Amino acid sequence: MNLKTISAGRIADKVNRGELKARDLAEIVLQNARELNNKLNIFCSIAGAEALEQASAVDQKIEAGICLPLAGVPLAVKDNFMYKALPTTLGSSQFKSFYPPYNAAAVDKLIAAGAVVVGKTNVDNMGIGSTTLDSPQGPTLNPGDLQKVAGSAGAAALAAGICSLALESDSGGALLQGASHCGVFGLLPSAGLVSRHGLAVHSGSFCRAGVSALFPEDLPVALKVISGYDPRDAVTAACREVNTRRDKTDDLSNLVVGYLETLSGSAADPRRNLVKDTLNRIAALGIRKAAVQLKHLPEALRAHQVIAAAEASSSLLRYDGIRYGQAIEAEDLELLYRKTRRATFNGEALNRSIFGTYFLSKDGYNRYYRQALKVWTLIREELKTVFEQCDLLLMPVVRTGPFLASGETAYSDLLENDLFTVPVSMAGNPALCLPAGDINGLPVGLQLIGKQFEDAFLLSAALKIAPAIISDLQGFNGGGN
Amino acid sequence: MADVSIEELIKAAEIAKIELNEDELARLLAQLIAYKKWLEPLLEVNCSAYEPLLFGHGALNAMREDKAEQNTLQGLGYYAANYEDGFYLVPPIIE
Amino acid sequence: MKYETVIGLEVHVELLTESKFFCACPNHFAAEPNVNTCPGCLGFPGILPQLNKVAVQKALTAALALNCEIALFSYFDRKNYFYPDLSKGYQISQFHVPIGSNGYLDLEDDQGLLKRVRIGRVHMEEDAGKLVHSPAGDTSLVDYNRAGVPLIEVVTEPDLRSPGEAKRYLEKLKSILQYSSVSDCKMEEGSLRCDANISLRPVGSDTLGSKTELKNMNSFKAVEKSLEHEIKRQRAILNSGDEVVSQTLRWEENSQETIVMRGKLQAHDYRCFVDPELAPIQLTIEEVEEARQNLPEMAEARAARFVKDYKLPGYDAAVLTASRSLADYFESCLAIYDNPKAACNWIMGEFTARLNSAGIEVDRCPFTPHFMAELLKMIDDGLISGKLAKEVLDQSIASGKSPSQIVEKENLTQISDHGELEKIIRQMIAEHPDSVENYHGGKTKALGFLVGQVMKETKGKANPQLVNELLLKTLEG
Repeated sequence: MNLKTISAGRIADKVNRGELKARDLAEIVLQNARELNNKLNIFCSIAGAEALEQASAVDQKIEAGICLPLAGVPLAVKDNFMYKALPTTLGSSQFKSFYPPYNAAAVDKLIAAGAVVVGKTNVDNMGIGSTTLDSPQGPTLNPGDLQKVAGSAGAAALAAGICSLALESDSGGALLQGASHCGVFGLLPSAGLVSRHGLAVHSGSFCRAGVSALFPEDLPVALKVISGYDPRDAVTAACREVNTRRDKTDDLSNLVVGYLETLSGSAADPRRNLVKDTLNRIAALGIRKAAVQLKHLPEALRAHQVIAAAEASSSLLRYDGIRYGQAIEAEDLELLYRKTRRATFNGEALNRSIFGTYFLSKDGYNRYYRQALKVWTLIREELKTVFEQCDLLLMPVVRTGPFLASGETAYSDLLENDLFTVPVSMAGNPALCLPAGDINGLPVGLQLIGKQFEDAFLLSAALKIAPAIISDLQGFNGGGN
Repeated sequence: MADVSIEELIKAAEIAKIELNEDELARLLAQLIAYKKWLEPLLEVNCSAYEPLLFGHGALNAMREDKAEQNTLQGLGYYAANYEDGFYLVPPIIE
Repeated sequence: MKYETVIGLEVHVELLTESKFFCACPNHFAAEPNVNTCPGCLGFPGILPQLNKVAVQKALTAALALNCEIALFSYFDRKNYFYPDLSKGYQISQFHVPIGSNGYLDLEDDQGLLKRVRIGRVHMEEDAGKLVHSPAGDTSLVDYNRAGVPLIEVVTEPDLRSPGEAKRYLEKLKSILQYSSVSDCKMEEGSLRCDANISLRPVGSDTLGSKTELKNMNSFKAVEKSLEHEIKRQRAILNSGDEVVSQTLRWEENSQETIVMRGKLQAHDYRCFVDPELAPIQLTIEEVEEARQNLPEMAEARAARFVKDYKLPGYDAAVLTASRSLADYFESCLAIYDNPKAACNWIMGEFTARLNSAGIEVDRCPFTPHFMAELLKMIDDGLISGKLAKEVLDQSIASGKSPSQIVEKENLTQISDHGELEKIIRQMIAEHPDSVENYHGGKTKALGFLVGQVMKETKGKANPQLVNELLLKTLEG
């Protein structure tokens, strides 16, 4: 069975009807995962017996007459979500055999809905990054071009046809960028809609859980499963009173899609054309366009960096090697801390630990941190104004194609990488990355952004718009089986 | 104040308790210099009309009832590198 | 030169809740290390804080009871530092906006005049774990049972002028927090902890001298002693023309001296910032007013009521209401026994003396208010003598048995039978003719001796009043 030609919803249908055994599917999927992993370096660990047990349990429930929305659906879980059955490495060699004593809320919910965890997907150190270049096992390769990174290993697992759904995290663009680079659909739900219990949060302000899929129609189903108030994540209290929000769009001619009039001159030309083409295509559906402005994108990107670094420098303090993890033997406490923490962190997590410490010091706080918090207010105001002029905002996701898997990347390029994804991170809106075309032989996505907690509306509109955008995408068999 | 001193970096690494060798310090210093330069546009935004944002989320008064539950997860001490007789062990501390 | 002492106190008080501040682990003392811990309070990855509603309510109550202005909108910050007893590498604490500020407490100064001690802030924070040091000194042991226990910190302005004032402030603070059920304030168990800032300045100066911070005082007495010690030390330094070094000192109870602390808490940059993982707290004016209305009667008001309603002397009322549990004990006893003065005498006297010598808290004493009432009734009914009653009290505290059970079991009932007593009296008169002669010779002391002999013969069980009566009758008859 080719997962690229059958949606998660169709798989669940077949399993629910007894036409397909979840266990049989799981065996094929696991085999496939092991084979392709050698080539793509997608997984930190691939499930074995525990996945088969999960699949058998699903089959038993179906036989007992229970219907499950994700029955038998192969699921990839990013390796910064706690999952008892497999190690949760957090992208650190110090955690290579860390079996957490609890499951993340989203993992529990997906399993309860019938999904089968195929494996834990590669992650940048401490979950910070959108390249997997900061992973101890090296980067996950892009199924479309093995010289390039995938960005998100979960998205790669989808693009390679190993899984149908991927549980993802995002704090500055990893989810959306990975989906863009791999040509899959990525949903970053509104901040506060999905519990982060069991996600190793490094930035309480920006970290979110989300989900990616090969088929857009699977996203509403997955979102329904993982969303909702969870007392274990205070921030989800915000989604308790949102029943009144719009949840679907009936008439596309009432819809106004905003686009950025000027792209800060930083998007390479093909990407700008992609937005233009896409707008023309959706305009053909009767949708109205509105030119809008986000004047402070570059400054927002910088503010996001400062705040994220500050929060990471604090959130990562707990990794001291005393209660868990592997403490490096040392005669005195100071050395134990310093050696253990050096061994735990690398790449951007290390940078943020140090730069973030500076941003929160008296000097850094007054100079950078406070200003960043003000710019945070500013960019939210700008986005609020944008959404007074439109229902949805269509924007690029990535500035450039995926980075080289081998080469060194200039630090400034890494920093600029999140330019188009930070506004959503900072304002809490939901965003959906959908494949919109090819550039240099690799897929490129665009994001549709909705108002906060109007996730259902966004998805409903996106499902109507998607066929017009993705019809001529190479290698993509939208909706078929 | 865009110039960066190595002392500033060393101090931050000390507070963060991360051991850095000479090479790493040099690399980080170069990065910090580039980083601060890159951050300059942030400082140039006129924000006099804006208050610092305290919370990115809209949650308010998210509280739980005061009910005690003994943790049912046994053996959390197993996760520690040095755990004995119910205690976590660390190198000696002088107060 | 004459110096003025300037003292400010920072008091940490554990809140009386069922569970910890940000996780559901029990908030009670455990003898075993690390049993009251979970991934949350151990700082495991992926666990977010879950704020305890009652802890916030108690902090609000405390702030109101201490006459603070209440911040309707407040939130938690992270105070970042490394120490093995701090599981997350930061303490969740209210740094930027404390729930209460600008409060005060009124107390008597050393001249007996009323003075107002300003309270700068009352804020919420979580406690850290505890460190134990191995005897060999080769390792330190960490116990996280206390990590995440809810606390409030009450910080005074530098308004206290003597160790005595500091002690009175602490007594009053303790009484208020106990009365409002915010905390049990047991300093010896660590549920109330006090740090002191102290400096000296020439009398008449209005600038503060350089101060030292005192820690590790485990009783109010120790606070007073350490401050007295520190005043002497600083005065000697200033008199010799040197400057006091601003530093943290640790009170050593054994040697009764302060020593300089090393390690923890030396000049830290805590890098405080908002904890983004918690929701802020928004109180309404109505909620605050309701909490204000619900503040319980405090010690002074209760003492006044005791004087008025129970006709107790002012001194007695003050002693009884000094702690809420003792006052509660008294009033529970009065619910079933109607002689306030007798109850007061016994509770203040015999009962309290025994609690003190045994080191038991009132609310943990097996001798319940009900037992006390029972005992007092037996005395009133002439079933036992006052002397016997003391013995019964001892036995009841030791065994937990009720006074009536003890009296019955030990056959301690008073002898009030006329015939039986007269028989013994006649026997004693016969055995002590000298005393009888003395008595008739006008030496009334002899009567006391004879009463004593009767009591001795009955092993104290005779009703002394009746013995007196019958003896007189026999001697005169």
